[in-house]
Amino acid sequence: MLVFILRRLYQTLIVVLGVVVLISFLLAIIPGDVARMRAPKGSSEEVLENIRKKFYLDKPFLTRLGIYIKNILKLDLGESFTYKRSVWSIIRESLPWSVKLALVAEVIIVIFGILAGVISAVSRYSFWDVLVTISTSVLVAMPIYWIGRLMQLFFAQWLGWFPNSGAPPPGSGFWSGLSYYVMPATALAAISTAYVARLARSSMLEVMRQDYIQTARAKGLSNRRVTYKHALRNGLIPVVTYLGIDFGVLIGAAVLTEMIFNWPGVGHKLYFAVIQRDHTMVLGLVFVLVIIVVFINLLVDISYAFLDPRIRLGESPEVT
Amino acid sequence: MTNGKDTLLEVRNLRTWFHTQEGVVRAVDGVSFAIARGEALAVVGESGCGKTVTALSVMNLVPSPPGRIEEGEIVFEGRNLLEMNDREMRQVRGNNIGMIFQDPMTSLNPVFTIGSQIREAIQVHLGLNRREAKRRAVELLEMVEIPQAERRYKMYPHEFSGGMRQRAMIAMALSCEPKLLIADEPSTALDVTIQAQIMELIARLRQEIGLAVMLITHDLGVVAGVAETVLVMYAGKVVEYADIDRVYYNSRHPYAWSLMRSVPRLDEKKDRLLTIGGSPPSLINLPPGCSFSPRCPFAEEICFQEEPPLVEAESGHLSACHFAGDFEKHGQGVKS
Repeated sequence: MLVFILRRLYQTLIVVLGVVVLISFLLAIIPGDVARMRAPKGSSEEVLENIRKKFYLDKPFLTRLGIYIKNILKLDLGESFTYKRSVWSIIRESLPWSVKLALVAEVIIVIFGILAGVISAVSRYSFWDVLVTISTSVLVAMPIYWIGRLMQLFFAQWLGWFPNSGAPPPGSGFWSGLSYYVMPATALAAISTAYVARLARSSMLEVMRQDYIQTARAKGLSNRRVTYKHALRNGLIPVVTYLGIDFGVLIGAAVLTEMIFNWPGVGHKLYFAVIQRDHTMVLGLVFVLVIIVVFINLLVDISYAFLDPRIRLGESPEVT
Repeated sequence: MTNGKDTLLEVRNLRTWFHTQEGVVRAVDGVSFAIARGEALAVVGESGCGKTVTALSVMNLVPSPPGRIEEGEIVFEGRNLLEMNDREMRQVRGNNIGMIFQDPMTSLNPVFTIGSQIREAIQVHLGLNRREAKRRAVELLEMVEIPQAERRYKMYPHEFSGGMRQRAMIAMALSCEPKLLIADEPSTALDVTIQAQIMELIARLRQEIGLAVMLITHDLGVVAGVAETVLVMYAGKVVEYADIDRVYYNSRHPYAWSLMRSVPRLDEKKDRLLTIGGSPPSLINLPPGCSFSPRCPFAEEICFQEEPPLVEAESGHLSACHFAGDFEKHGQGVKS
């Protein structure tokens, strides 16, 4: 197990390095003079030259990349020119909001997605199965910005159940704080929930056809035990993989949700950093997001190995 | 065939049909047989003749839908299993009747250790605690001749070879000391040498614990060493039912007769083995008359029109053939 984790950590390093190089390269080839954007309008050539020097824009790409990577190793992500503060301080401020939102969304996905999928598979072709199938199809087809707006209209404007947007103000209690999460987290979770429900359903149905399920029945186990012990553990393997990968996506790609609900998270910051061509901000945010995603993938792989003993020895799962 | 001995399992006129979109598949159509305590019955026939469905019907594990037991009685120790509710039936499965399956590679759950899978049935049926159940499971692994049982107990199925997995399956099936073991092609998916070991193991365990066995196989070679009685099935029906010597040396049905002659034997010099031409009929559209008639070397006019009943050709020897008494004489000129 330790060897397995070390091997995956080593792979993780390479992925992070690759992403940093790629993003730097992308930012470097985007046309336009960054110095001119940063300087006040009508600045003299001398001022522009100073800015270029300060941000190493006069150096060749590879030199710049080298400096950036060296700074990262010193845990220095540079300074954002729009906020005039270190990128770290901005991440420290916004990342917890994104993580909290993603966690709440993940809880919604796990509970409703797996539950719907398993119920659907166990009572196949029943009323509940049809209901799940139809509602997941509808959910998958609805984009976040549309669901989000609809929810704001219904639950905030008309019914007034939840705050329209924004994060809970400091000092709000648990329940009033949680009410701010309900809509953005649901919107963020909607598509993944539908997807998890379908994945869990098909995976469970597939597993229920396996020979070892018949063996379990032949042992005289109850239906419940066969379904929730023997089938679920096998059926959840693909679901857990998806959930893990999706969690990273929920943190990093909540840009739309965070914009609609004016949520002060990383996605919100990333959107403005891209619009403003704030290179250090974009690089810093993406760097941190990549590390989170890669780290979560590592956790997923470890949990995967826990669920499926065949992974532990480094062999591929047998085709059964 | 119990011959007045203490009957353990009696199946009467069992009909298990599958309702598919193409029509009704009469997988098992009026099968009757009985197994005495400690007796071993071999159910023989080609793939798709209804052997496995018969076994699954006894366990009440026929996949439903599309399968359904339409008719019949399955009396085990005096109680009709088909009238039992789900809870009572679970007490029979694994506890009174153990079952092992054809493919040991896929019959064990890949995510649980061998030990925990054996322990599970013991805990459910015998109510032992975890430690006692573990001790029993290790004993069982030793009984089925798995070396280093203590260590293997903690292993996962993928760390076992095919033969070892089938041994583990047998240990699991026997964990609650059932009175009947249903073995559905237990050696088919294994290498020949391993096949022999598994069959020997089953034969030995029968002797030791007085187990009745229902052995399902398409391989007549493995029957001889294990079973006393043979039930030959064709197209969902019983065509011959007698003790093993009679079926082997004095078959009263052309299908069973042909089967015996298609087994290679070391003690008989033959240039060519007999083959049975054609393939089994579709169970949705059975031909009128005897189902075997299109492939039968001895078939006469009547065979294509009337279905032969299963009758006693001689005492204790059932056959479903119009010429059960003398088909060989009857079909003069047909050489094996």
